[in-house]
Amino acid sequence: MRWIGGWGSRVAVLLLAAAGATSCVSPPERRSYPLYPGPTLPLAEVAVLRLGDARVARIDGLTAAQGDWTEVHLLPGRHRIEWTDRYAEDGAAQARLEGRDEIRRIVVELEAGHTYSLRSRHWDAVVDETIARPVPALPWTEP
Amino acid sequence: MPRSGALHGRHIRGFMAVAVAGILAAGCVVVPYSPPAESSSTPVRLEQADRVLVTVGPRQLLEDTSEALRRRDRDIEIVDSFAFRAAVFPEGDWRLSRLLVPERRSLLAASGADYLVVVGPVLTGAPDERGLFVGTAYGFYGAGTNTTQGSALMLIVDLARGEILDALRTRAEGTDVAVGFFYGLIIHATTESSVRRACLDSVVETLRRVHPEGRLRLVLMAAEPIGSSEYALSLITE
Repeated sequence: MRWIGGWGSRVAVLLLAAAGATSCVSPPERRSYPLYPGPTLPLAEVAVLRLGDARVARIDGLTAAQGDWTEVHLLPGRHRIEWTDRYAEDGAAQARLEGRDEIRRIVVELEAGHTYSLRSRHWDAVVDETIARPVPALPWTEP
Repeated sequence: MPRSGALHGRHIRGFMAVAVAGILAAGCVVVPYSPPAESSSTPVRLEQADRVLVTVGPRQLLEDTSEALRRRDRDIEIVDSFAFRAAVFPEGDWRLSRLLVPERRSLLAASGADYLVVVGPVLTGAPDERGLFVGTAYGFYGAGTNTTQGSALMLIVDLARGEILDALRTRAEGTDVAVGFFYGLIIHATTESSVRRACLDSVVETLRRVHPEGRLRLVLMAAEPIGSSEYALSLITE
């Protein structure tokens, strides 16, 4: 292969190629919000909850918005999660078309080392991505 | 070869030609203006401080505030909010009331920050609309105004003393004015950014009044109400 131009143009082409490749391949920035006291714990000791379909979620009373965070790190155990969902238990399709917001409230038991995701479907609101199974929702109780 | 003055004049004429062409094509000119904002100290009532959590949730708001404060004063140093939270609340329970108890003063003093600034978001009230201004495919017609009020609260905690230094409330009222007869002219009030700017100016002024020179180590956090959707800092101010 023959290069046209000198070293400058070769470097420029390589830089452009690298920039193009990284802009296409690099995943979205991961921003983790630790919602537990004390110093940062290793991932194996926390449950990772991806905000997934939830634009804004309140986890144990604290707000995490998609624009600020992609995931929340929690201590293993029972957590209260609230978020706004366009799907409702009744008339799900209609709620979505009309853009009605429904507040979802669930209590779930999360395990350390597992990654979970919030979903916009009432039958699997929280999915354990580590084992690819929905997480059973426990009854909501006021704090 | 043209002289630099002639070249400059040609650039200005070129720019104006593009601007006029843009106005003719778009059919509407928007002129932003910054309405005046006023900041003042507001009394603090700490009876409700156990209903307010200090949080690092609004990451973008805190990052923007941090940059804006450093632009205003190069001697401001921002302390990591997570490190501060871990040092001051080792057991969790991030309630504002817990931060202000006398037993916590040694932790606050050793936190590496001089002041905690609790940043409140800018709130805008419902607009007061008058007149009628419509944009159609055949141009802009009518005349109307739209008045909006914006306000924000900031709380400054003196960490060496373990007490509130000041609570600052900033308010602004801006009116958008729109007139049109085929072409439209909109004068747009940037109320929200006026409030934010004035609020940050008053934070720096307040801090520099008590700490006129030298490095200022600030930690920025936000506030959330417990069990309600109220504006958190309004729970502890009058």
